[in-house]
Amino acid sequence: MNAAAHYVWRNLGRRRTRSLLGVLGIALTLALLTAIQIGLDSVSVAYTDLAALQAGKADVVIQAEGSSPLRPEPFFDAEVRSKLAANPLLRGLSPRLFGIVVVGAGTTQHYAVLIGLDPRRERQFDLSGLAPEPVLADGMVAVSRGLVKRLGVKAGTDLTLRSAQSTEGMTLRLEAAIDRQLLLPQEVKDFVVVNEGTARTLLNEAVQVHALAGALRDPTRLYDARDLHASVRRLKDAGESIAAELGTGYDLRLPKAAAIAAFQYFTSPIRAFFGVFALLALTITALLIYSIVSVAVEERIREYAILRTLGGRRRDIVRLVLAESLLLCGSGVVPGVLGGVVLAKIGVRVTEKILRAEGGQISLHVSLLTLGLAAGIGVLLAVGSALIPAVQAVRWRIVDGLDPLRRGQVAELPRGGEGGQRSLLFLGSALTALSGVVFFVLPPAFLSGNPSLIGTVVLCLLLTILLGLTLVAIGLLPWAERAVLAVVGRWFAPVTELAARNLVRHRRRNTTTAVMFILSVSWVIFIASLAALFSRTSLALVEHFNGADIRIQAEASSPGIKGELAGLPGVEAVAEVKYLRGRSQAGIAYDVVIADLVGLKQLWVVPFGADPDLARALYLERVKYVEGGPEAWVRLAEFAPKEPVPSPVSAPTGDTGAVVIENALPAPAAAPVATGRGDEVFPVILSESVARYLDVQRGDLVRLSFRLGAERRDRRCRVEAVCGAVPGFDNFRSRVAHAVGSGVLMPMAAFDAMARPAPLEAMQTRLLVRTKPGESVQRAVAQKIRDDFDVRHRFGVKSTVERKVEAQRLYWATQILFGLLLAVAIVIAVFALIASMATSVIERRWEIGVLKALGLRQSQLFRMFLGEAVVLTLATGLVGGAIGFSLAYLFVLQAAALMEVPVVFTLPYLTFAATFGLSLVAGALAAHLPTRRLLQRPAAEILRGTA
Amino acid sequence: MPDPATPPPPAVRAENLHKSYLLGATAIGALRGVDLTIQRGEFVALMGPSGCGKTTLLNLIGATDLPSRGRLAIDGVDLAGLSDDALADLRRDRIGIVFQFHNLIPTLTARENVEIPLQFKGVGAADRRRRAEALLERVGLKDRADHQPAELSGGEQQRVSIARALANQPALVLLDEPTGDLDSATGREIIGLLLDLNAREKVTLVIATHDASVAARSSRIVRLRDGRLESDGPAA
Repeated sequence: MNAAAHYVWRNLGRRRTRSLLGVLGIALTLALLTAIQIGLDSVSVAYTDLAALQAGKADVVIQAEGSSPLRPEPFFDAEVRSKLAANPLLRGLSPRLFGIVVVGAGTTQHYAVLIGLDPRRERQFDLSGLAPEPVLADGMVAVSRGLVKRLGVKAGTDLTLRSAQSTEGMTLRLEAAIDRQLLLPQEVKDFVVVNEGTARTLLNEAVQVHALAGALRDPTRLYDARDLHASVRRLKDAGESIAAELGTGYDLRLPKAAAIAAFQYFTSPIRAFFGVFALLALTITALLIYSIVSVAVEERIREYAILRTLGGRRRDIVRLVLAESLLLCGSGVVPGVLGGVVLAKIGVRVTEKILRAEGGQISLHVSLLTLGLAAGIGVLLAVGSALIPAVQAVRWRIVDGLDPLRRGQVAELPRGGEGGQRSLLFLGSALTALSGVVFFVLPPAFLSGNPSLIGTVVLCLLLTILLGLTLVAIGLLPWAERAVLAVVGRWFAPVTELAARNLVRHRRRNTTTAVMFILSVSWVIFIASLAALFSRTSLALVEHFNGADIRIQAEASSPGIKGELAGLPGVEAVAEVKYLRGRSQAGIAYDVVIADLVGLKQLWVVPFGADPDLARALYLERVKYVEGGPEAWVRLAEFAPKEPVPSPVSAPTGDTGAVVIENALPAPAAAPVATGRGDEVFPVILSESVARYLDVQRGDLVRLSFRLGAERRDRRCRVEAVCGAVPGFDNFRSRVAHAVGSGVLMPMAAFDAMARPAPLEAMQTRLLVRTKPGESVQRAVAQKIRDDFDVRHRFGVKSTVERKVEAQRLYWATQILFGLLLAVAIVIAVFALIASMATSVIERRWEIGVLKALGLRQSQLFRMFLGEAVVLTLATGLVGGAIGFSLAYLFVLQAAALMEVPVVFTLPYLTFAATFGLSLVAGALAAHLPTRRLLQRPAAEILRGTA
Repeated sequence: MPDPATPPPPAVRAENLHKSYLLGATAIGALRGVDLTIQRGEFVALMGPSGCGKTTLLNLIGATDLPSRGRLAIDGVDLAGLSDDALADLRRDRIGIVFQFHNLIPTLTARENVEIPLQFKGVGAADRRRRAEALLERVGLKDRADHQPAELSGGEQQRVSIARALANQPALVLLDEPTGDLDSATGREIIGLLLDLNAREKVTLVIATHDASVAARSSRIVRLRDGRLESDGPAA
């Protein structure tokens, strides 16, 4: 090795602590980023197999048009098989039958979904979606584990099964309990599985099937783990070619492709967030390297001057500095990347252990691209961060570099107007660029609907605002320092005043430290605050969205269902709400339009017919009244229509049909209109957005028009209340932009009268249940409803308590995840702070020598540096924390305003306290480590420059 | 090919050399119109009280600083208009500099310190090593080649500095108070070495010194006062 190489190599060993800090900083950052990237890659690669855990193993599922597993329509599979017999893409098809059965064991009976399979074909084509996979011989049945527990049976027990429509049953022996099924929606917990023959007997279906599950040929070509997007495209192409051959009358689904697409959709925002986090972590690490190299350069100014006297050119010196930085970063890249692989392996093992219970397997996927990227980042960091210090290394004239006493004595040329214009140019360009980004990038991002793109753009803008606020904070720093000094100054006596003056004198030098610390702290607090605010808000949102203790979504009303629910133990009140779907299965459109009385404005709305018990079940305390109050619910409940009287036919005028002239002469009309009692007015509760759009108030009359296919019904309504938000009804909004599709609450009787022509399939029902007080009561009632009603009525049951628990789990998971990420950011920032303070000490060694010569004690000198460091870190911590929290709060306020949900103010106390504690520790370390050796030296040695 | 009839250019030719510094807002004239010519093979001592400008003059001759006014040529090369890289090449090829203290790169061995100028010139590794060892032998430190400066005495460090200054066979060697940090015995040894180099190898030496005994052993003494040439004559 040559002398220059030796020089570079040995320089790293000159200040081992500092070099170690740099290596650790790079290693930590790269380890974390590499681990996350490898983890994401591994899961993506494995996802083509993991998709089966979510969607089942079937590549394609063929059903009759409009059919679904829970509302199966039978069809002749022979027809399908004959159409697809020659299709080169399909390997084979396996029949499936579905139905509702009653399962009995002794005196206990439960409803369950029946699945009928051909187990031989399922195995042959590897389509099984059951875990564990049963044999299903004749006379045997497999039952879901939950149902087995409720029936109190075990393998070998005889069960009776009968169709829900039949009284005759079959006795089958229980073969096994099934833990997981991937053939039906996951909400279906109670199911039984039999072979095809048994299912046909039970369902009295001799010939037809309800679904055909298919396997594709050559799956390795279609499922490409390296490119999920291409996989989905190829699968879609294959599916479309099969569907084209199949013709109309059938629906073809690609469950695994859909799962992969959903996975991509889910991970895209994660990748976007990771990208922004990586950028920030790398920025902080770059500042660390910059500080370390700056320190080293400052120490060796004289050496560089000597090298230049020996004939070294400026670029030779620059190369030496860059080589040193490369070596430093390279020493961190290798352990960092290796550490990242190890971390990823641990993470993948943990994830795999969780998934193995579900039958999943993930193998570690370390791509050369990831490793190369990590190495490349290391090189970029090394060169980029060290460039400025390298140039600084040769900034002095040789004579000034050789003699520390001469440095700074050469006056610089006055900058005059040119400097001021340059800064204006820079600021103006930055503002224009930012405005351009907002103007050109933000709207298309939001219009794209792509959450990862929107997330990335929003995060980048936030980062820009953060940077801007950081610069503002630098400007405010002197006041922050004064404030902190006023509080803690007495602990640093008698050198407090000296420390204060030094902070002012060395303002420029401290700027790098301040920027870095503010950035780190503000980002830390921003993320922690965001997580805390969103989590607390989402907890409040649960009640807002649920609307009641238990919310049940059903397809259509079943007579007597409300009474059955009300009879359950623990239930205090049940309310039924009905509303119309915009379009039926047959494609008929149902429009409900609200208009002012003079037809100036009209709006498409969603009407809700609420029964008189709604006010008893709903979280009324969460209703946001703009006009009116709780008495509106009473009016709604008390409304009873009078006997309907045939009314004259009204003819619509104009294309919009918004104005209806009553009592007009009969005229041929394309749409006959019936109104019941023409003058009867029923009460309605409007959303604020509708009221604002129509410009109506409480007490005003509005016209509601139900346009149902060829029929039309118009009635007048009186506005009893205007609400900005109604829990359980998420289309009650306050902004005019959200007016279209807003909700209108009306009495059930009026709704039934207006919606009478609508077929049952167009109706949807929501049942809101209030339980007796107590979380356990609520849970018990929700479980009872699932057990007794779910399968029969195909309910979706959500209880507020259970949703809150889910929200709490998510909150803690995100807190832990963010905590880990933030810990890394803080550690790197502390490293960089220490290195930065070391630069300051080295630059001021002459001053230290003079102070010592004047009689200042070592402990007093240390206190001076400690005071400067602590005041600086506390002030930057304070300012950074304020910026981070304010930004998070404003962001959440904005998001909440867009979504029209209330924000719950909460401060991440723990993170704040930890951040300030770390600031103090960082300040103390930053004061101690760089000065511990220098302060022990005699003044003369320091002054001579030999210390 | 140089014309044998044309005499070689002097090692140093300075004409009306001025150098001013700004100390705060005040302009300080460190050199005020110095004319000086040093022929090859001379041993010149620059003397004068503190602040007289001898270090400044040495810095200008060493091309580590540039004059405010006047002309300066080193070994026939006019410094005016030379780029930074050209000045670096000049220092590498034609000038050797020895400082009073902290000359050596502390993390490199004696041999490696001597190799540095050779490395900047692009000399191959084997050749560098050979020449560095030869130079160290000349200054009597062959067996200390692998020692770092912290392991060498003050005198030994100065010897290594001298060897390093001679690495590229420069036209002249500039020494700024080379014995200032040494005891008298060691100082005499160093001066003896320099005289030997000057006598045997005709190395042009310019030495700035306060020490009259050192100046007395030179062939010519140039005295400066307040930035001007006070006297210029042979040593007594």
